[in-house]
Amino acid sequence: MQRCYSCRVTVAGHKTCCPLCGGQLSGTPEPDTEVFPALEKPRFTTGFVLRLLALIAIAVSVICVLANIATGWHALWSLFVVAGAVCVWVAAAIGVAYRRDMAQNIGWQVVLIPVLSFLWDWWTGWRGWSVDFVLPCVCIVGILAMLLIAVLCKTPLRRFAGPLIGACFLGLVPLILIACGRVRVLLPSLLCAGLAILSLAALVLFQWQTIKAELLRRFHL
Amino acid sequence: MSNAKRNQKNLSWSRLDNAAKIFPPTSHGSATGVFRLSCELTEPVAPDVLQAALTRTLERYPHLLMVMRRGVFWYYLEQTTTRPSVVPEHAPPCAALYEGSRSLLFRVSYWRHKVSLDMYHVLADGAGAIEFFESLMTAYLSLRHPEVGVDGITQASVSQRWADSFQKYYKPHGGGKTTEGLGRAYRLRGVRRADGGLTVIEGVADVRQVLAAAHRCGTTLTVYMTALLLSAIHSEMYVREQKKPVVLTVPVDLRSFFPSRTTRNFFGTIRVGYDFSRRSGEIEDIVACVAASFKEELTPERLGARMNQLAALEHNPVLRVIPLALKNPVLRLSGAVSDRGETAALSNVGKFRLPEALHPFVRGFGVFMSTGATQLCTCSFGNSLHFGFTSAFENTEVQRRFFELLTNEGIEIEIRSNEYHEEEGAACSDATAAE
Ligand SMILES: [Zn+2]
Repeated sequence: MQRCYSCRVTVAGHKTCCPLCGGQLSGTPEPDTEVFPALEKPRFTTGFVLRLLALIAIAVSVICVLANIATGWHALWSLFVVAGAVCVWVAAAIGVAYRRDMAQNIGWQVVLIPVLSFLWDWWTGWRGWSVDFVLPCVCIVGILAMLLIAVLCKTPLRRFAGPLIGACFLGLVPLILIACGRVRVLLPSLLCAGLAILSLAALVLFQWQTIKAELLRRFHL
Repeated sequence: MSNAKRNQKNLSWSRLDNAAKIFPPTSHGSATGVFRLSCELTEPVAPDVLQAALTRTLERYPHLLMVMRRGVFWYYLEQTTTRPSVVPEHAPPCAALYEGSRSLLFRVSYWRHKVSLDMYHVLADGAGAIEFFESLMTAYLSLRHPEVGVDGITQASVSQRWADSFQKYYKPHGGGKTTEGLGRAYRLRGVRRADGGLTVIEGVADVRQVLAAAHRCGTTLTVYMTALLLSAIHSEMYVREQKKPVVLTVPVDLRSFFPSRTTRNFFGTIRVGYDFSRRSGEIEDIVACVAASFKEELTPERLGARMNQLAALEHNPVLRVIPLALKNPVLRLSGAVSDRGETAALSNVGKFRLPEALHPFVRGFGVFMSTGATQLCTCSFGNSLHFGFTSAFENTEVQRRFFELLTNEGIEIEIRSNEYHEEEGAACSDATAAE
């Protein structure tokens, strides 16, 4: 047993210094009496990956802003790069945060990407591409991707019912936009709404029990 | 709340109980909301036997097989078909367990002679986890040593164990008087660990020696240890900081006041403060002060009133309809406000019990709780008393002073720690002073 004379305690295991006072130990170490294993530190934590991505985004932004200043102020093209870097980082952050649950990951991306493109569209002098194309296409891809992954991984419905229903409801938004006369290119929005209605109908007709149970849980007060 | 049917399609689910609701939003950094129970055996652990014991024990505790999922308004627990396997210890004590909606909320690990159970506080509290851990260790040891002929079966039914006792004893208008907060408490200073983990120091003493010291002060073990911790914290305070009281949060098992067999959370907390600027700071005076506040606070009326107060928050119609994403910051803030009134925490989880025939195979049990500051958990088994110190700080001044107060009473202490000073031959802090 090792012993610290200033703390007057015995110390288990094999320590270089006294765990209490940091002083020197006397006596013979007995590594067999160690109670806690020495652990290897994890190399890549989630926080580290996000910080790394943030650093890359900042580096790209800084380089572009500096280049923009160096080549004169005539066009503020670097602002677009900065905003783009922020958007990519947010999407990547969600991807990392929900990496263990693909359905939720897709669900959040389906919300995020249309919102970001709407802001871009609005900022760059409203051409309507975000509601004409991005929103319906992202919904279509999202719903199909969730269904495809679920079939491939044989996921039970209750695991991805929440994000799927959410994406389907978002898929109905283009229909509302058409009714409000906000959509100029109809085809993507109609396809999207059709897929959403079809999916919802199939869910309600064949999986009502599961859907009902899932909704009860998710919305309990 | 949980429906009894357990078919594959509609897995049963349940709300988080009142005390559990605060843990998911406030779990971050070193305060993971996870606590650890560990058991040291006299011989190395056999992993396959431990796995068999775990599988067998879980048949009687199916409600621990839960995952936590996000609802729109609250988190909830949902039964899962995932089954746990015992793993070699690869994570630090009380490391986070919740990593998304698929992770089980407890983990059984082993290393050399030791079995550890890490449990997320959402699923069970100390007393509940102890019951499960005792069953697990009984099952393990009786499988490992069939010759002693022990077959430990507890009597409580599954529904009794999964009852939400907070709901059972909640009275909507049973407010009653609770003590006012003790104001802002002194906060421990120090550098937080760079890795965001916990400094774990475990002290082992003979319970008879500590009891004798407590009796010399004319008091009980819990009061004595509380007084020692207050005194240890005092010794590292600057004089100008002493106008703030030192306040310890002490969790109380409500099962001893309100009959319940649940393994879910059913605990309350009381706060024990001592103002070193107004009182002498002698250990006898601290003991008297602590004993008085224990006597005052530890009554069914007081604890019941506090329980109702907390439950009223959960039943608050405004808070209930706030979506989870907005609710989390609110609860996090309320947690931070409550933390400001607390210096450290002390939890005496009491005695571990195993069938007499199995005692020769067990050296002792230990308890550790994750924390954002410093926490001491004590427990005993047979004649060994374990002090489990966890701290988010690098410095170990409070721990050193606490054990010094014990050794001053002639108590022999054995120290264990998760700290490894990696560079062999690195100079210790008193390298020049020694010799
Ligand atoms: Zn020492």
